[in-house]
Amino acid sequence: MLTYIIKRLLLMIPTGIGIITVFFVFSELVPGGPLDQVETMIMDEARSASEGGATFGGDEGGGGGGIAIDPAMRMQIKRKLGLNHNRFERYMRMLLWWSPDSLISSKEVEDGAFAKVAFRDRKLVVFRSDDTYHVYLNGVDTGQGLGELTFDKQEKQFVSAMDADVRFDPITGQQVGGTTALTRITVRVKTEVFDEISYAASGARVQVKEAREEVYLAQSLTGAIRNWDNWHGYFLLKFPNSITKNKKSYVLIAERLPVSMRLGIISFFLTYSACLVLGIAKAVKNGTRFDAATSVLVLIGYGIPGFVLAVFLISMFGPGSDALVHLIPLRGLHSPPEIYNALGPLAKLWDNIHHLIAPIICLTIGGFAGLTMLTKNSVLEQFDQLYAVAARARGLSQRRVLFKHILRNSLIPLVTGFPARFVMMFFTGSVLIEKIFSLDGIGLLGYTALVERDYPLMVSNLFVFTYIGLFCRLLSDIGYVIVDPRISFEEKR
Amino acid sequence: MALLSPEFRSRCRKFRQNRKSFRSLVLLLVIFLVTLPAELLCNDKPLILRVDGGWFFPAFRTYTYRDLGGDRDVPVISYRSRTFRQFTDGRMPILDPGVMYRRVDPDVDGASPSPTPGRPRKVWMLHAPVRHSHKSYYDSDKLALQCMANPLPHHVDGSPVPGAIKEGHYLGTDKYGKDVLARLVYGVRLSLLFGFALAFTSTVIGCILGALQGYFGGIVDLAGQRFTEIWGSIPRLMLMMMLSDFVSRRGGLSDFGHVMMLFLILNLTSWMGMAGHMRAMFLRARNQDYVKAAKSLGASDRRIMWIHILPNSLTPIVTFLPFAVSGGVMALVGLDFLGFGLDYPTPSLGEMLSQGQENIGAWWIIVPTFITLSAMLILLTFIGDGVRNAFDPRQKS
Repeated sequence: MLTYIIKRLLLMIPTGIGIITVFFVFSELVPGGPLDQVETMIMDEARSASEGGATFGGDEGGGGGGIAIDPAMRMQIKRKLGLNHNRFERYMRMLLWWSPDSLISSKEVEDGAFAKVAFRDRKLVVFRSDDTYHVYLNGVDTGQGLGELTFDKQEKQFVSAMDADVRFDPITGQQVGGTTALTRITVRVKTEVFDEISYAASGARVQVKEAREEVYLAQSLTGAIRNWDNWHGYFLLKFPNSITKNKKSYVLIAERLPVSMRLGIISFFLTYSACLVLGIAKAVKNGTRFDAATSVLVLIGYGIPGFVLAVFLISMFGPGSDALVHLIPLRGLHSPPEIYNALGPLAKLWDNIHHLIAPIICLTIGGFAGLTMLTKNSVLEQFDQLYAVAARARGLSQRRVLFKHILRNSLIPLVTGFPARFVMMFFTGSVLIEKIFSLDGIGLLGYTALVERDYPLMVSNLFVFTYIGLFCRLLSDIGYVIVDPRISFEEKR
Repeated sequence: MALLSPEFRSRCRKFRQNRKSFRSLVLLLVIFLVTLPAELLCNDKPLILRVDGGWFFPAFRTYTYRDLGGDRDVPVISYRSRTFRQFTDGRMPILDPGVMYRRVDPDVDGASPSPTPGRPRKVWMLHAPVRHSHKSYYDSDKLALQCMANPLPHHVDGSPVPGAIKEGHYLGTDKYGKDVLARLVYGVRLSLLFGFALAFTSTVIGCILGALQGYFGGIVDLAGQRFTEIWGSIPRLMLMMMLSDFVSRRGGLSDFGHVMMLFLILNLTSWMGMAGHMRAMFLRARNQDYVKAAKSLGASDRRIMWIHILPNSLTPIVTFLPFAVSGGVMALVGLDFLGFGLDYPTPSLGEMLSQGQENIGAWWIIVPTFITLSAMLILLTFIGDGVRNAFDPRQKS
């Protein structure tokens, strides 16, 4: 069993590689990725900002409305999106990648908390001379005259080489001296070590709000390996930030997860209990008119796709002015907060149920057929078993035989399918249903990420989705073995 | 032939005895055959046109006025336009195409190009039952396109508005002013064709891959299994959306090219269920005596797979087919609904569904679409249920 589990866990790795490879190949083949998306966003912002007549974007503004993104800024966006690397590194950075930024000998580490930082691979690096720390912002346009900054150790301030009066506080990043406000440099200092230096050049040309240059500390080899920041890749669960929402992808996913889970869990229990009752009833009344009628009903439910029904329901019974009856609320899991918070506890509960009824109907409608038939068939199968015949021969009532003897055995195939179905309920069709009813779950998150070309969020979503699915399937297979010891996976091979 | 094997025939008979399923099959075939010649049902161009004794078929060919006996080399775009009526009435101005867009100077051109009344022409037209196609606009005669036209008479701000039925829009128009009924008919045809084609190709692909895995076993099987596992664990709808988005952004596709591309994308995942079944069948069959006998007689692998095992493994194929069709239809509708499917003028039920959702008041879009789509899929489900009951040996009658 243990080897089986380990085998399955190892097999999950190629799945992840597969997803990322598929994604990577297609995203490389296709023009108009997130870079375009971000540029459009910035241009829109700039356009609205420049409406007051301020000059923006410099003089080489050619195309859209006289605004163009200057090369330095484009470089920064690229860096932020991780597009500055070559193709192989980009691919590997999605899988698993270690990029030490600068290595020094361990002796240098002992000398001081940070010894030497250099500009490598277009990154800002600080290195140490005797009393000063020179900061070079190489390779990027530093705005007007930032030039070279030196770190004055006595005053613990950065001094601009262009204008000795211009000083910057390393902790707050504020300019503390000088009259010409050319640039602003933000330096964050954690303990004694410069963790990260970021700068913002607020020149006349382009205002860069969030352009951050990360400074990587010189570190020893072991330190560099141990440093979590040097590692990249989805396999280490280092999900990049979402582009459009400016938040960590996993935070976004975690925020949305409860919504999808609530839908999934409720519809799961509803389906299971309804199907059990219906299946048993159908088995008892096998061949009657009731059996035939419910079969047709259940099949009709199976035939109508949930999302098609959802659209129909929302236009017929939704909030629109031409609806027949207004039964379905507009969106979300409960009324807007200002109304919702004022409600009493019972009203709140009703409000929740009210918002959930229609989505749950649409989510569950397709799920009845299979499970009901499974229940019916497995109960029917047990009816003719010897032990049931014997129980009846002993004079037990039909009801007692059914509930005490038959049911227990016929539930085995149902229970074994429990976890797998649970997962199915969790994921199937939720994109469509969530979109139609405007429920802010992970399905909708993935959809909007795709529409907005938010590649990092998209891949994270796909990745998380897939792995939850895989783990649940593994759990359900383990569940099979625990529930029914006759099943063994090792012998199957 | 395998198709005529007695067992197969008895199962077909069993299927036919299932009245519900058999009727569903007949009904679905009727729907399919009726919508197949959609051009004959819904067309803005007359099916047959007679001008002064000549036969013309505008629904299938584009004619110029010269073809119809006129003078202009201009194609007839609409047979309901004022120009065409002028042509038939003999009032059409005879214009030299070169002069048409130039201001005419009588001194230079010599003669004034004043309309010379011709003779009225004898015209007879046979129209399709619905005089609109899935992409024809409301009426070229009217300047404004009438979009979202309610088929029934109703009131707007207290004043009555005649229904669009009067204009031949039996189910009104959609937001681009195109006939809903026509789009429905063309959409059903496309969906069913798409579903059938997808079911066919995915069965073929699934059979080949499953058969190879099951028959050869060993490393082929292992590799295939792993691949299926990896490919199958990626959420399907998300993957389809992603690929479809990539494809449409790459651009440069005609409408038909787009349909084909979508078809290929859906084929990428649709074969997996079939492959699993076929693998199991071949895995079981390869150790059975008849296969061993064939092998010892020196039959080639291909022959054994094709002639010996496949006819004995038809059950999963047949049971799988109806569900594959409905799966294909549903996938197409879902993608279209989300906006990752076909481009607009292509008739698509999913697109109509999304229009119905956007315009919640437009019952004439959502109700017919919902009924059509549900009916189609329910019929397919009934057929599938009947086939499974007839062919699945585990089922008790």
